[in-house]
This record gives sequence, C-alpha cells and structure tokens, in this order.
Amino acid sequence: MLSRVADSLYWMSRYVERAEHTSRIVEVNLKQMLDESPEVSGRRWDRVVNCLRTDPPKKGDREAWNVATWLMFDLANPDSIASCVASARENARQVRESISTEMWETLNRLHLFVKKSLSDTVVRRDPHEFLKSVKREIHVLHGIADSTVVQGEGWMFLQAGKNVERAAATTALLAEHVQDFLAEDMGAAADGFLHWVGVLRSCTAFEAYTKTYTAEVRPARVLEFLLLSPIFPRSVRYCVNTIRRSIESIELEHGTTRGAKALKASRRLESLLDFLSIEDLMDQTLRARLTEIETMCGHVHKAIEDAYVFYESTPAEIRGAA
Amino acid sequence: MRPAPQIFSRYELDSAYDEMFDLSNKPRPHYQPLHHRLTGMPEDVWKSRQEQADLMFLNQGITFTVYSSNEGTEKIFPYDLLPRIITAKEWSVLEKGLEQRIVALNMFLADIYHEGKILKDGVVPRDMVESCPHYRPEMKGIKVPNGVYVSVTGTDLIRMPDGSFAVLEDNLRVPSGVSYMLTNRQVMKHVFPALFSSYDVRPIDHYGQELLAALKSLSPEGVSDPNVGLLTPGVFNSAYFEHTFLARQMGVTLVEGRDLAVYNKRVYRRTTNGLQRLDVIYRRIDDDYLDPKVFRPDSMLGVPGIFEAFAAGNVALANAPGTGVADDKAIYAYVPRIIKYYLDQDPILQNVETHILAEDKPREMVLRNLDKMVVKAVGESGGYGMLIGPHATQEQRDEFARKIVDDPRNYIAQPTINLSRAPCFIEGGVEGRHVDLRPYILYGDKVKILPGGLTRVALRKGSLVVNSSQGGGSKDTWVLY
Repeated sequence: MLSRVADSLYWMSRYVERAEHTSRIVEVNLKQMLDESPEVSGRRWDRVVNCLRTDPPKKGDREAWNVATWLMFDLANPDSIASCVASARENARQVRESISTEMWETLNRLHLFVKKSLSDTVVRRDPHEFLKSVKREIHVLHGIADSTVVQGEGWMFLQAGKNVERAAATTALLAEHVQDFLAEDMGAAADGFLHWVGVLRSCTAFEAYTKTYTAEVRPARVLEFLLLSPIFPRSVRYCVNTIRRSIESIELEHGTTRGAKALKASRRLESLLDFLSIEDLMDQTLRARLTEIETMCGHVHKAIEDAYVFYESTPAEIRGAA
Repeated sequence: MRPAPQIFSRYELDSAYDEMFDLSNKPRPHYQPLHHRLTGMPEDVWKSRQEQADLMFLNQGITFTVYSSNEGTEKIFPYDLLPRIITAKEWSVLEKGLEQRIVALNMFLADIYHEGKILKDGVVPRDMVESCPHYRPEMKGIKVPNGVYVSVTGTDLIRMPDGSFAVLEDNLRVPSGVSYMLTNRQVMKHVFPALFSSYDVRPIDHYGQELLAALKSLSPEGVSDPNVGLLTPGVFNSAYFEHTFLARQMGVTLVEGRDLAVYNKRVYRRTTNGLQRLDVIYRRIDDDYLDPKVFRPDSMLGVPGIFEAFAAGNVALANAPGTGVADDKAIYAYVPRIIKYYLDQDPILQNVETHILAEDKPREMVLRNLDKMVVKAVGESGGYGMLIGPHATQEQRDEFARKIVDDPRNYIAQPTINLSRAPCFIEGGVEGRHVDLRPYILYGDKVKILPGGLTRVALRKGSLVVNSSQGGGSKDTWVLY
C-alpha cells in the first residue's frame, strides 16, 4: 500500500473519530447545562475546551453558547465538527479508490449535510438534531466500513487511526476530571451523580457501565471502567490493545519488521495498562499517570508514521551497490 | 407539422440532423419505443427521475473541477435522462473508420519519431510537424513497447446535417470522460430499468478490464506480471474523480508524482513496506508536467527522471510522450492523406473541412468570412481558445483576426457546422439540443472499441459548445445489437 494512502486512511479515521467525540461531548454538556447555575456552566465550557485539547474561540467571550458554536460550526477552528468532517472527507477523496464506494458515499453525504447546516439558522439555534445526525451517520459509516472494506492493510490503518484518537481523547477526558476523582464527596449527591453520568455518556459508556457495576455510580469505578476495561470498546486499554493488534497484522502481511518501533511503543503502553489496578491509581499520582499515558499515545502515533510514511527512502538494492 | 404530443410541444426542427425525428417529423424506428414511453408518462414522473439521477451523482461525489471559477470549484456534470441511440449499422461504420484512423495515426507517430519518410516524401510539411507545440524532439529514436504510441484515444465525432458522421478532433494525449460514459450507464439502469431492458443495448461495463489488458500488453521485457499504476496530477485536477474511478475499476494503484521516485532508471513507488517497482504507468499528466528534468522544470506534479527510465525501456508510459503532435488541429487537416499514405485506403470517416491559416490564400478567405467560421487554437483542448464566428461579437472577431495575423501557425478555421440534435429533458418538456459523440478506443495487442461513448450535450439552447468546462452536459449512449 502506498505510504500516502495509508497516511490518508489513518487521518481520515482520526478525523471521523474526533468529529464523533466532539459531537458527543458538546451534546452531553449542552444537556447538562439545563440543570445547573450559570456560574457552574461557565466553568463547564472551559473544561470542555480543555478536554478536547483544542483552543478556545479567539473572539467573543467564553459564554456557553459561543463556545459550543465554535466547537460545532466554526471552520476557523480546525477541531470543530464541521472542520473534522471536511478534513475526513478530503482525506477520503484523496484515497477514494482504496475505500469502498458505499463508505465514500456515506462520508460524502455527511459532509454535504454538515455543509448545509452551517448556513441553516434553525439548526444553529437548536443543534441537538444536528449532533444526533452526525453521530448516527458516523455509526452508519463504521457499520458500512465493517461490512464492505477488505480487512487487509488499509483496514488496519483505519483501525489504528480510530483507536489512537479514541485512546488519547478518553485519557484527556479523564485527566480533565482528576480533581473530581480524588475529591471525597463527589458521587453521593445528585449533582455528583449527574456529573459522573455526564462523563460516562461522553464516551457512550453509561449503559455499558451499569451492566458491569449497576447504576451505582462511583468515581473509582468510572475511572476503572474508562481506563482499564478489557472489553469496553472506548476504554483506553481496549483501544491500545486494538492498536497493537493492528500493527501486528500489518507486520504479518509485510513479513518484515519495519514497524518494530511502533509495535514496541504500543506494547509498552498496553502492558502498563494491563498491570495497573484501580488501587494504584486513586491517589496523588493519578495526574502524572494520566499524563504519562497521553504522552505514550503520542509516541505510538509518531512511531506508526515514522515506520510506514516518513521513512528514509533508497531502494535496498541501490544502497547495497553504493 | 409539430411532433404532436404535449411533452414535445416546444420541440423545434431545423436544418440540423435530428437524432430522433426524420424529415417528416416521425420518430426514426430505433427511437420509437422511447418516443412512445415519453408520450405516455406523466411529467412529474420524468421530473422525479431526473431528481433521482442528479442526487445519485451528487451523493457519489461524481464531480469535476471548473477552472477560473472562484467558489464551488467542484460541480456535478449535468446529466440528461434521455439516451442517445445508435443503430448497429451506424456503429459498424464508426468502428471500422475509427480503427483505420487510429492505426494510421500510430504509424504516423512511429514514422516522424524515426525515419520521417512521410516528411521526406512531402506528404506532410516538415515544419508543420516540427513547429507543433506538442512535438517532442526528445522522442526521436526511442523505441516504444510493441510500437504502440496511443493506447487510449477518445475521438470526437459529430453528425453532419446529411446524417453522416465526421471526425472533429483526435484526442491522442490524455482524453477524459470515460468515467462519465460508465456512470451514466449505471445511473440509467437504476433510474429507467424498464426502458433500458426494452432495448437490446450492448454492454460497456468491461471497459476497466479491457483498459488493464491494453496497459499490460506494454509490459517491459522479462516482466510477466507487471505492476501497473495510474499517475494522477492529484485531487485538484479537473478529472480527479475519473482517475480514482479507473484505478478502482482496474484494481491498480493510483499514484501521484510525490509517491514515485526514480533510481538507476527504474521507477519506484513509496509503500508502507518500502519502495516497490512500477512497470506500466497510465499517466493522466500532460507531457509538459511529466518530468521536470526533461520538460517543464517548474513542474511539481511529475517525477524527475521518469523519461529516462522510459527511454531505457524500464517503464512503459501510456500514452507515450509526444502523441500530441498527431492531434494538432493543423495536422488534423492532413489525416486523410496520412491514412492514404500508410494504408493505401480511402478514409472511412470524413474530416471536417479545415483551413490552414499558415497558408496565405485560405487565411485571407477566412479573415473575410470570420462571421461564418469557427476558429481554434491548434494546441488547445476543452473548448478553450476558440471563436464561434456566428455567435461572437464584432469585438471578439476583431480580436481573433489580430491573433491570427500575429501567429497564423497557431490557428485553424472550420466552417460552422450545425451539429446534430438529440432530444433532451428540459424544464418539464423535451427539447432538441446539439450533441457530439466521443467513443473510446483502446490499442493493446489489437484495436478495441467499446460499443458506446460519451454523448456530450450543449445544454444552452442553440449553443454548439459541448465541453463540460463551457456548460455542457452528457447522456447515456446506447449502441444497439
């Protein structure tokens, strides 16, 4: 597979994931805002911007609505839903022959829908339906990809992109809540309950959580579930496991050890997560741990790009002759 | 007498040949089933089918890029619902004529880049060839695989007022549009399955396979299963959709210049598993941009060293560089003589009368009659650099007169021809619009012509310009058994 194509597939997948994640976070926070005082809600949006690892709006105030619009519709924000969908579609357009027609059509339709929404004042005033549609279309896209794309190398780059983005985003979300995890009294009160449900819903994890732990929501369990669950598809551990398996499959298909460093980086992170237990985490080292995990996600990303895309190139037979 | 039913109430007939109606305003036999269906179907059904078709194009992202239009650079290519129908008898003449023409032009290219017999014999003037902007002296003496220069051709045909076909242009460089031919057919089958099955239409869907076979026939010596790639200028090229489409149809890699590198006169592509050899390249990049070391040094799209690899026989390029000399609009005037010279046959397909403006007498005549003439720049394509005398203003005609006097070699003139007209679905009714026809010819082990082609439509009423860049659309084209 061409390096450029692999890179586009990888990034297309990352942008799609980012668009979905942002949609969910914005939706959850818009809903939660309904139940709280203006003072609390001001802090909320600073936190949202932080956990998305993006920049706050340059102009205007930090008022909730202004920030939400910036995160959804502003093309000047490269991480807005509108920008992510456009970037995903542009990457797909450049590798159209490598993805299935059905997949392209779904993504293209999503792009046309988002583009139309940008100038639709009704949508902008009440974006809930918009956010829902974006999420639904992206779920459809995953389903279609699942049943139409050959599960070869290209598929593995799609998987790697999606899961690198997911692992980093979930870790960032958790890091944004470190204080709350360690606070004594979060969890019991109604406020606390709503807060933690919000965090879980930000990862579509609420229902999955209740199936494991019942609806009794406790901070340590939320952390354990989103970071260490071996079976929940958005937990950091699950994502890292998928990344490692994707790289292994690429290596197997190549029959080389070109990706050795990428494999090593993902294995290191995976074994860290495999051996962590929740008891190790619930103390003052939590912030440093989460930062470490986020940094290691970055290393995995860089190792993948270095191995398959930006390598130094001279044909072996020519190097031999020189 | 008008072609009675209401849906045809705006249909006008004049001196142009009409594809559907004969001189007595009756539908020609092969158009009767379509005519029948048109008159029997309520208007809103047609309308909804048209909307359905447009949506298919939009959702599939079947678009092209228009240059010099600032916003919305991606547009869908307008599609007309009604098929253009060609009988088996008409087709067999076209098929023979096109094969004859492409074989002769290929021999012409081989000759001028080697011995140059036709030039020595004075059949085509030497300076007419050597002054051509697309003549490539770098190609002199280079052996091309199987002697095939032109693997893919898209010849533009028009139908004259008397119903006979004529060649308007030979496109021997990187003709585009074949993806529209194929998707038009898919959309047609989806929107009008019953109408389609009521006719015996010859299939064209195997084009990708035939193209791949033609490309593989160019494989360098000793390579039995060549690596084939399609070289595109990239996502900003107007035909990018087509490049991805064809790469998918053939199952070959779509590469850009930046994916390729040349070492020791061999072409490699950068893959996730290191560098890999490429043996045959269907390049959709013009000669000028192909190799900055040989052609335009400022090209960012090409591959430095690829021409040297080609000259050494390590990689095949389709079409070969330098084929543009044979579709030069001035050389065009000599094609009947070229056919006679190499094949000792009379041309089966006629040319359109063409005046070479480098010659004094024709030039004076043309300058006096600019309001009746079509003037074209010899090296341009896509409807750019062209004057349609009868539809131009006096100012535009004066400007072209100046250009012709300044650089006569750069222009030719042809009489304005009333292209044939085909029924189109326009604003709830059926009206006639001028059309041309571009069949696609593949030259592999032998010449193969897909039974069909791209029918381009000048959608503006009365317009004679069918190019997509100038407001044209297209139709599905049916060749019957």
